[in-house]
Amino acid sequence: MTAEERLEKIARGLGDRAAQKLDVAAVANGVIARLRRDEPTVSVRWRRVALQMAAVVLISVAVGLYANSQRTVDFDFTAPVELTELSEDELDQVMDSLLVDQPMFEVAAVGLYDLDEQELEDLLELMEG
Amino acid sequence: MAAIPLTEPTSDAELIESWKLGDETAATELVHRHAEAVARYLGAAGAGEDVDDLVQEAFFRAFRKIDTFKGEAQFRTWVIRIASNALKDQRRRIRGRVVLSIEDGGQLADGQGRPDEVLDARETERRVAAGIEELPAMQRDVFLLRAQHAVSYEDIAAVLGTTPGAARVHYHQAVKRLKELL
Repeated sequence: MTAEERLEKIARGLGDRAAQKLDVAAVANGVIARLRRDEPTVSVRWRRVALQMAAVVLISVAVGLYANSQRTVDFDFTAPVELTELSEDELDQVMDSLLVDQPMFEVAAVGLYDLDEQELEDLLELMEG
Repeated sequence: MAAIPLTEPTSDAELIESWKLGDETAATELVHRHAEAVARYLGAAGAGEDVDDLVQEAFFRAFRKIDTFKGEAQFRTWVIRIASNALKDQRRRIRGRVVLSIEDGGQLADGQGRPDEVLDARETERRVAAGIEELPAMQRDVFLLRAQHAVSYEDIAAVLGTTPGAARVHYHQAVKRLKELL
């Protein structure tokens, strides 16, 4: 038996007593009882849904406000404008104003599958400090 | 010719869908199927006398957030992962507590063989048990899932949020550390 096989055998043995002592029926009853006590009321459920929707709306508004703050618009929006009425230069202006400057990150994507075992070990050692 | 059962046993996936519709007997059946495996993991991970409570906690958490289980691994493996987190939470609350249970020596040192051999085997088990408990959490979980439950590296990676390659490395690192205790 190799050392690894011996360790695996020990690991399987460890916890056997815990498994044998376990009162499965009592555990199952306890789980169900807790789930019943924990059952949220309808109003709590709806509150959760409402909170989630509010979070989505807030995030959308925040993103919209941020995007808007990045735009520089030169012409006047007070009067409604049909795009078909705009000249080429004015159309260019509209298109430019819609472009938002954002930093572009170049990501060198390296999957862990690309690394060999030694590189993986080195990486893990680095991460673990 | 082997007898063909009249009905096929219900799969974990079917039980999970039933539970989502509120069927408590489905939840109970899932506990009966997998509780011992979860207890086995917790016993080896050093949960000591808290195994029963932690098994219950693990299943409670699992059923509460059953919608997050996407079938990326076996249900049992997923619950063991939840049990590992429950154990970590418990240790954070009770710092410095010695949880190694000498009684969880397992089946190896069961009195068969010469007394000195039995003592040696028990001492080795004790050292390995302590070593497992001291492993970094990821290494411990990978090692126990693999050694106790023969979970594939793909499934291990899916539940532990890593990659199969990294899981393999964690396993070998755990074995390397524990080998020194033999």
